[in-house]
Amino acid sequence: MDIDDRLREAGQRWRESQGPALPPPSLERSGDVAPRRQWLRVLAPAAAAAAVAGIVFGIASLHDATTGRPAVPAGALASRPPSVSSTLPKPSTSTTAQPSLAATATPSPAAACVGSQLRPSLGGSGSAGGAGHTQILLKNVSGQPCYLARVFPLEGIKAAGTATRLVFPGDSATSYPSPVAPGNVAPGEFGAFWVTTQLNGCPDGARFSSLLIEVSPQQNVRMLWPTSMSTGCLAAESAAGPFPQPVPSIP
Amino acid sequence: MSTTTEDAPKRLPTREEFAVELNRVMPVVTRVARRFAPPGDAEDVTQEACLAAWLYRHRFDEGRGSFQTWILKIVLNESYRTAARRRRNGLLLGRLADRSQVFAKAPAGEFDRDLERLIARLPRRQREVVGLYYFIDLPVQEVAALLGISSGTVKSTLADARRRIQVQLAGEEST
Repeated sequence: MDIDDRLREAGQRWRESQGPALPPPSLERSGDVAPRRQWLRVLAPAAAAAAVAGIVFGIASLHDATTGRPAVPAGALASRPPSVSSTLPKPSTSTTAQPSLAATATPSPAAACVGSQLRPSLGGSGSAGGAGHTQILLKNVSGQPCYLARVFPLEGIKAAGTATRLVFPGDSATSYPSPVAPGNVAPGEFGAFWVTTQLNGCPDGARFSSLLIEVSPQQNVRMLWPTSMSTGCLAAESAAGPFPQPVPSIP
Repeated sequence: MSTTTEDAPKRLPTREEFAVELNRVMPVVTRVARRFAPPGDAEDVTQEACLAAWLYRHRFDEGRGSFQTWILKIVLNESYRTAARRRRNGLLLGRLADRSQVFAKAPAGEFDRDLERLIARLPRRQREVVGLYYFIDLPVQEVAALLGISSGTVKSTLADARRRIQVQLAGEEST
């Protein structure tokens, strides 16, 4: 038998041996990702943050117990009130939900955040499904709560000072971890937004020395350029909201 | 300044429209995932690829090919990415090992083991072309569009693959 015929027959037998087509993933729920994946993507960073918080608080508390000195929270946890850091936290859920939910569940929106109230920093970055995600944290360094909801215009600044407006082909709803719930950010707490990049089949984007965030008219904030935003091409930018996000009810 | 239709923003498909298109191509998407993804990963690869397609639907350009070709490319990329991740994790020894495990799991006589074993030994590009043309049953033009090569290259790659398989088969039968 000719090899061509043999291959055709083998192919035919292989196709017949396959079961029915897999069902497509559900696109019905909020945003652009299926519910299971979305929950994983929203809860995984929160769980990781909670775990880190637990470890840091645990170490801090143990350190306090041995030295007798007051706790000095580090990094993102610096804003936690001493009363929280002075006791060992309960596992993950307590650190994830309660302090930040209390901060974000303010019933009425405060005034919109302005540039002078926010200090930006790089949160984290990761990739999944051919997309890269960069989180930008915005700490409320003022004494007043402020409201985060907008998609901030962004610019890349070269070392020479030239500014380039960043253009995102996708709308904010297509950005990880869409949707971002708006809300108030209490003094000392964090807000965040995310930049999604397309990794597959995309050349790396331009590198800048800093990222400029137009929080409010003539009140920009600036931070070092996250290198992860130059990996692949820019795809979408999420709206900003309080971080950690309030946990929505499971439908 | 006049505004041309090219300047107008592209209308993205609604969720319902996208789901209809997705349902239409799911049989072939499933076959490609089962053919090219590591054993046991076809379902995850399919889901990741479909979600990525939905997330990046604005990047689909009808002028550059059909929706089916576009999503199959995503499935292929996701399959290779998953296989690479598995290799990195030390879960599989390599593509040959991948394929031999597939065959080991298949019921006896369900497909030609010898032929599959020889296909698994082909260089990657030949294996892709043979898989897409004979097993997924895509026409030459679509294989070419999917792999970003010309139809002539697909045909010559198929001929090379057939020749190589023929030689190896002859060698095995003579021993």
